[in-house]
Amino acid sequence: MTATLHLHQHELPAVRARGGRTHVELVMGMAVSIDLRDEVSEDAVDEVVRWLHHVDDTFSTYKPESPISRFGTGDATLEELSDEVINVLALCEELYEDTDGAFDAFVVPAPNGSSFDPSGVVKGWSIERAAEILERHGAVNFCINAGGDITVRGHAHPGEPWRIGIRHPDQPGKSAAVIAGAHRLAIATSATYERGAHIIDPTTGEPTADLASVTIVGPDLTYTDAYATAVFVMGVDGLNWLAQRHPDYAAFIVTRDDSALSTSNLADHRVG
Amino acid sequence: MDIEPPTTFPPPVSPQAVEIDAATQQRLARLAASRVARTQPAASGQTTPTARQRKRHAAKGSRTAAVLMSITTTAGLTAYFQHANTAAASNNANTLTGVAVASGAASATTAAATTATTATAATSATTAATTATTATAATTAATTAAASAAAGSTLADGTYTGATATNKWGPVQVEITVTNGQITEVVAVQTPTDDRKSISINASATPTLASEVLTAQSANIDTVSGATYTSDSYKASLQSAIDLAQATAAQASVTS
Repeated sequence: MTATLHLHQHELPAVRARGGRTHVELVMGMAVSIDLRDEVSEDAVDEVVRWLHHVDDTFSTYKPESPISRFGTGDATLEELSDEVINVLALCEELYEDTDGAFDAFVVPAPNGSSFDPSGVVKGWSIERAAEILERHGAVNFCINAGGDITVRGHAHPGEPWRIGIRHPDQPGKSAAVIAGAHRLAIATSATYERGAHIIDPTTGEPTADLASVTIVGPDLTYTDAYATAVFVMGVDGLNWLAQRHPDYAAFIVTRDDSALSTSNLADHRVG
Repeated sequence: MDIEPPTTFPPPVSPQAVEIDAATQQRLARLAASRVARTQPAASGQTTPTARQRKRHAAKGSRTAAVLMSITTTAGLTAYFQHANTAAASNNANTLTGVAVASGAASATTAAATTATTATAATSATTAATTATTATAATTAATTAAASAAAGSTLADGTYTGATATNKWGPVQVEITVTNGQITEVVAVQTPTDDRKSISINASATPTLASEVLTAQSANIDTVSGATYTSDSYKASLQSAIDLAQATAAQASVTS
């Protein structure tokens, strides 16, 4: 099926002719863009697409019959869950401890009526697994962008890193900073400009929106995604937490008054 | 570009082998028990006042810092912003620190503390100090910080008052307080409007921070990181434009 994409606000960016292919899958309530720069068999993309829909079926809090919904609403016990789901629960618990409670999947109001929503970790985790699928099929240079959370491998062009723009909170077509990623890099952003104040502060049970946006850069999207949520809740203090606890991850935050703050190691990745 | 309908293929085998060791088992047992306990406060709408106040305070500090910045930043520094922002594109860590200094006296002092505790950044503090000529107090702080970083020691405790500088809007003077070798408070003792503004700095946070004025760039990029967009908002996003251009580029390569 060929989809029609509408370009309302942006001119088509200038890009170079190249090999590979680009696929966009609408799944998990968002668009997942798979940008392959190598000639890889279609089986690779097909397997990733199957995987993403499997994740949606298993972890969606919008689907009352998904295992995660049944667990959240108390219809399923730990013993009934698959190892895959248990693994994600363990990841939630690890992040709860690690972030001193700032990331807590157990106090997030979910669409299924429960207060358990692990979506903040499922997305990054599933995209890293998708990257592993592509690598098993021989892909070396690619980028997966899942609703604004990204993992890259290899290079965008021979010898040139991927150039990743961090969206400006008030100007959707512009970047507040540009990050270069080569070999392996992940980047995730939490903000309120798309979906309003939806990030819950676990210590109060109320939405938090003290910052305009939080972007985390590091080796693994599972953690950049979760840390972005946690630092958003922690506020400016979160920069200190990240620098001390996870020096291999960097942060770039935009405050409500249009100041940008970053951890000093962001300079290692920044090109604009 | 192809957007396929939801697939009817059977799910694949999970690509990651799952191993649940004894420690994980124990953790999950605790998890099952804590699930009920932890969800109750949110369900009943109870809050934790101390945690909330602490968090609000941090945000207030950031807002106060912004007010201080806007008061003490001069038109002369605005010209410097433009220069520094252009230079920032070169991805030079020293330049980033320069931008921080230009953000105003308060953040300049923070930047000085930042560089002081990073031995390799001592040069950058000196660069910043010599560049921010209109923020005299900041210059003093940065110079002191750079010197102390070079010597491998920390700032001596006490209160330091910078010389008065005059900008387009009037006189500016900044006072810093050093406790346990770190800058804990910045007070603008004299500002063009003569309001006494102060901010408390999370002392342990200063070594890791860089601050700058937010800019909007139109640089060429391969992909965009932003807050989660829905399937609908994707259609109007810059990412969708990039995807379409890349799909075209890939096809052009195949057919040419």
